[in-house]
Amino acid sequence: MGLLPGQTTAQVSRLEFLARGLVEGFITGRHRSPHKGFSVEFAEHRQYSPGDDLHDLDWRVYGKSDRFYIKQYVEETNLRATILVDASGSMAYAGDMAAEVDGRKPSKFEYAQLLAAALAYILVKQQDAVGLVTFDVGMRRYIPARSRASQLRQVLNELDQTRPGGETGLGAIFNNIADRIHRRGIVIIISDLFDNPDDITRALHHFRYRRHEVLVFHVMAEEELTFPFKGSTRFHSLEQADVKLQIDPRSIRSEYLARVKSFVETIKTACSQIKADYVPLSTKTPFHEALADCLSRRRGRR
Amino acid sequence: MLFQNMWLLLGLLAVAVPVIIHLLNRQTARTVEWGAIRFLLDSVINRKRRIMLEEVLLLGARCLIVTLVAVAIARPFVPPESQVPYVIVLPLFLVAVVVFGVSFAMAQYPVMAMWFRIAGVVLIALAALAIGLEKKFNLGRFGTLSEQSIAVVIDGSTSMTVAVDGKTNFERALAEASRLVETAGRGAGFSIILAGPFPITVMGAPVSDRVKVLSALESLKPVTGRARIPAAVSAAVAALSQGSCPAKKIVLITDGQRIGWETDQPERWKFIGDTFSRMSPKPDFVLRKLQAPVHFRNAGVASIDFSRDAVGIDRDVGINVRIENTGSEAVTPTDLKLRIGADTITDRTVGQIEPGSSETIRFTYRFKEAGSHTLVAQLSVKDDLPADDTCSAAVNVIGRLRVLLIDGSPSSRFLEGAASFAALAMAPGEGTVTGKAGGSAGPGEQEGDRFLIEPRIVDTMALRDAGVFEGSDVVVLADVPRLPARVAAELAAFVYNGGGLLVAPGENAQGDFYNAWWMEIGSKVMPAEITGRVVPKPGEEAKLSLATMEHRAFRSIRENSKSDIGSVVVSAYWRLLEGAREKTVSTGARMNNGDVFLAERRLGRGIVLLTACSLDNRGSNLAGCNSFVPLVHELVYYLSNPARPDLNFAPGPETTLRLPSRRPGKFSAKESVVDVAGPGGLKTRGRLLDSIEGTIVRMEGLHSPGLYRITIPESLKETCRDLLAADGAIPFAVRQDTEEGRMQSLGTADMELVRRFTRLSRPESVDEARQILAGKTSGHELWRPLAVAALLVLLVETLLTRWIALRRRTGAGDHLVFEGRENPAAAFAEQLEKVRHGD
Repeated sequence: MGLLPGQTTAQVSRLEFLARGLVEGFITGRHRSPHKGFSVEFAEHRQYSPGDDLHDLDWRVYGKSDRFYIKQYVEETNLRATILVDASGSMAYAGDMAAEVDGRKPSKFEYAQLLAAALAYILVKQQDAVGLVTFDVGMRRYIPARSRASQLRQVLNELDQTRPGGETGLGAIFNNIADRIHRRGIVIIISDLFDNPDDITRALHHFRYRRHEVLVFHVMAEEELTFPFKGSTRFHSLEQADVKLQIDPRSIRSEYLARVKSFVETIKTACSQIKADYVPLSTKTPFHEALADCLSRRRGRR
Repeated sequence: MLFQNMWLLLGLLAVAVPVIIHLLNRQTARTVEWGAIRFLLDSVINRKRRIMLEEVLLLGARCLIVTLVAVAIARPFVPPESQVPYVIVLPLFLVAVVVFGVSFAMAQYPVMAMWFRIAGVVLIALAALAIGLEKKFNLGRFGTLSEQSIAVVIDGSTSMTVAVDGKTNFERALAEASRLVETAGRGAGFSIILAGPFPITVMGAPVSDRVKVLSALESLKPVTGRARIPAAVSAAVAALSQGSCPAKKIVLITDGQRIGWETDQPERWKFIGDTFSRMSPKPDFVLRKLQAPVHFRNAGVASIDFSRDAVGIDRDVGINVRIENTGSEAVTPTDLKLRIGADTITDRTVGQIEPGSSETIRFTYRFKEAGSHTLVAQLSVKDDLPADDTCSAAVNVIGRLRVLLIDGSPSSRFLEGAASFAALAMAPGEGTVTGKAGGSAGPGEQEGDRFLIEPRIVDTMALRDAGVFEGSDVVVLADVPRLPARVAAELAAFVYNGGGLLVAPGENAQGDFYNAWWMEIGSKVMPAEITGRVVPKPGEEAKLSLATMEHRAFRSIRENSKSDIGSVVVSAYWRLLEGAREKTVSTGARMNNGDVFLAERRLGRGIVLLTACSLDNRGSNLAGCNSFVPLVHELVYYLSNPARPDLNFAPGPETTLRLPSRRPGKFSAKESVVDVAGPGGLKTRGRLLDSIEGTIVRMEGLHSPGLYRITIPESLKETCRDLLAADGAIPFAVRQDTEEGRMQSLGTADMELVRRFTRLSRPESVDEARQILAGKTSGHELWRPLAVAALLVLLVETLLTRWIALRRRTGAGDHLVFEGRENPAAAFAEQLEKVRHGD
């Protein structure tokens, strides 16, 4: 960390802070694994009741107090989550309609960054292994999943340093990643998925074939969903510098929306085919709301 | 097409406004860094053409509005006789500007945009070129002139007297001419010509005194008959050639009746064109065509004909009066009156006459007196053109016809002479047999038995006397073997000067004489060659073929169903050989074996008839059949006809009446003047002179149809006795011109012909004509339709905008559902659980 410039450190801190702030309120004292079991980390004692495994008896306490207490440990889970964050150029789009986070309107990437950070934080706090992949047309960085405490810092640092740019080439990346993650786990994809839907579908199937659980956070800007532009507009591609298009947006709005709709439908269908979870996220939805909703739902379910 | 305010065309630069707005819209486009470019590109690929089309349509409409307004403000007009078809040039121009404008809406298709721009520029250049040419060739014709000679030609034809919208075109023409005179520049001089059957130059050398010109115009009266325009234009040219102004114009005000323009004789117009080009400066021909009546009622008397060529006092004559409806509606005349001298016959059987059809009413009348008579047919009908309801004719009724029969085989017994049967047929009375035939009734004969024809039989011995043919109307050579050379020459001259000769060769005739009978001037006398005598065997005799009897003299006989002429058997005849085709020779009848029975030659003013057999009972049984008498009569009448002057003339600048004279060729320079009285109190004069044709009366300016009278000097009365009417004058008639009533308008081809030879301009109104005379030209203004078009396009543009907006809004309601927070959250948690438990 010391190698990083101060600004970045501050930013990482901020990201961590943000993530913690968003997450902490919900999870403190509640989100420990409810399953006490075999673990290295001691959790608490409780009185023995018949049927408990005698292995867990704390003989030291028995020696001192002549009472049977069972040692309980925080369970060490097998969850290995790899968060795939799309850092392609298209993710850099920041619409005016996005909900403010920390006083500014985030781009899709920032939204994804935050989401990834929050998820990483939660997972790490839960002692799960977290990995990170950032990619555009190729894989930029691969941090294999680990459950070490330092892992969070590494992941957050990496996330923070990533800047969106380049084209999107999801299909090849996903296949690559699917091959790399040997142990089965959960694959969390945070992307706008702006690629050929067929390639994406095939890649998702690859994940499934590797018996990974897939969770897709489909991040889209509200502008991309409603196309609210008026008057002649020059669209510059965020991915390819030479692609420009000047047009009266109203003239193609219906056509555009139809295409987006069909695209979303295709993704949705592909996800349901591989039993992946599909979470559409519009940047219009305030981040904390989305996360709170997500987590409180989970809590409510418990 | 030209522009009143050419420089206001600069307003076309305003076309740049919509284009600039369009470009600015593009230029000021907001830039959006966009991620989902792939969807955008896909959508655009699908929509690209449509979007461009919409933009092109909108920009096109806007450019068109500006163009239309700009062009309308520049006030385009079609000058008279425009050489450039504005229906092509104007749209071409509009299209050009619009094409150029819309090219800016094609940013996505730069190549197409470039082509559109090129096309636009080329089209604009073409339109400008067309307008430039028009300016050069059309506008250039009208130099601004202060001094000019203008010949005003007013159509005075009958059709101009038809009322159109309560006013006749003639009145209208006078009013327009007066207006032209009043408003013409100070230095203008005017000639006035009234166009009629021949032109009347009312005012020859151009006069610049307005009052004089106007009063001359006021005094004009329509003439009757057609207006012969080429003649009128020639008269105008003659009038204009007297002035020395730097500009010359001929203004013709007419209702444009095709008849009289003589466009079927292009050489006439070519001649006028030549005259024009010889003039300096070349005159302009301004044709102001008034509205011709479209619906009008008109029935008129077209003609009066007689059923026979020679009308005698001896028998009834059929008088055919043809009534024609030249209008556009059916007309039912009340009656038709025919006035002959003091007698009036009324016919009430005239029924309804459909437009374009005619009806002939036949009257039968027997003239009691020899000499000339007048006939007036008056149709009682209410129509728009009363001038042609009356028709006049004059007829010379024969009191006697002197026929000299020369008998080539005289006999002591009357009926054995070769000429006897014919003479008897001519005057079947005792006087003929006794040789005392004459104009007066012989002893024992009733006054009613007087015969028209006075036959006189002489034998060849009588021919020794000179001047034996004088006083005869017709000479018959009945089986004359040959004639002495002197007599033959005398007889030929007799025919040449209008006498009739009937040659009926019998068995004595000598073919070599007849075949070698030539006139001094180098013409054969006989119409056919007498080749050989044919005597068919009994039972194989030739018969007259009724079907071939086309000769005019046979007409009435042929038409008579009771005629027995077809049964005539010819037992001996001369084979007549038709020579080389000559215009003056014709075959009048044949026999059933194809041999010629009757041949005719027109020799000078007279006629020679040659039959194949004699007119007695030796060669055929013709003399014995019932048709013989009428046949001989008709032949004589026919032969005598050329000797009688025609008393009916077509209207024309010069009319010549031939007076009977048996001493032609004695030309004397001496001439005297005779008085001629015409219809409507017209008094004019004719010149009486001896010419090569004999004594003639030459009259000028007889254009009004109707009856005329010539009073001839006492000294001539004896010679002209047969021609005199009861009042001692010679009447004659100028015929009606029915063509004028047909109202056939000038066509495009006619105008093209005229334009080919003249510098023609055709103003649509008197104001336009005025402007042409003033050296300006206005023409047909076009700004109104352009303004209306601009409004319409504006409306279309608005609708188009709304429609496009509406189209774009559809689909705006499609809301993309991109929510589902409860689900993912639950799923996420579940997922975590599952993985944690190591499922």
